[in-house]
Amino acid sequence: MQQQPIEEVPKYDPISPAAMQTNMYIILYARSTLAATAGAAAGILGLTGTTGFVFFFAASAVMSAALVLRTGFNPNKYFPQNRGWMQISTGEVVNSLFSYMLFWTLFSGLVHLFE
Amino acid sequence: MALNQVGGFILAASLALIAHSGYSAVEHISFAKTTHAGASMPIDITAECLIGLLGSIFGVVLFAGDLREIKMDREMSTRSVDT
Repeated sequence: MQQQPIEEVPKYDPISPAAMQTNMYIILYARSTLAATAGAAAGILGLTGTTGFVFFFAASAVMSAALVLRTGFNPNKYFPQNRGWMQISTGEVVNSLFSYMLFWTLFSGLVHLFE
Repeated sequence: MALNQVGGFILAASLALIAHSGYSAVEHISFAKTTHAGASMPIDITAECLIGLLGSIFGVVLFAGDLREIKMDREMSTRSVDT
């Protein structure tokens, strides 16, 4: 008598797409506000050149820490495929860099250029 | 008071701090130009700007709302079978 090999049942683990979209939108909203606020701060303080970019990456790191605190140090619960840490700390960073430069030049011009 | 509203207040207060420090910086630069003294930014304007930035970071994270868990069984447990 031939023994049938036991087939493995594939693990069925559905993921809600509405929840994924909500979480991505929260990260987008937080990083866009960070770009505007940090750009205003850099313009007011009069930072120029490399110092301004270092300031942006430092502010982004603080925002990543705040987001990790919000997820309760377990971001894999909120993002799929076990990429939670990567998504929280590097999601939308380069996108917000351009908005940061826009607000930075705007506020530098407003505060530091005078007649 | 919900976490949303606390975040909203902190965010609004931090934006007001940044705006106030910006206006103070403009006043200080025009003052320094007329009296030719003290060309560097005073420490209290810098501190006000940085405190406003930190407050806005934590305020917007609180204001943006709760993150939702993605596993479908957790999502379904919040809804009931009856309509």
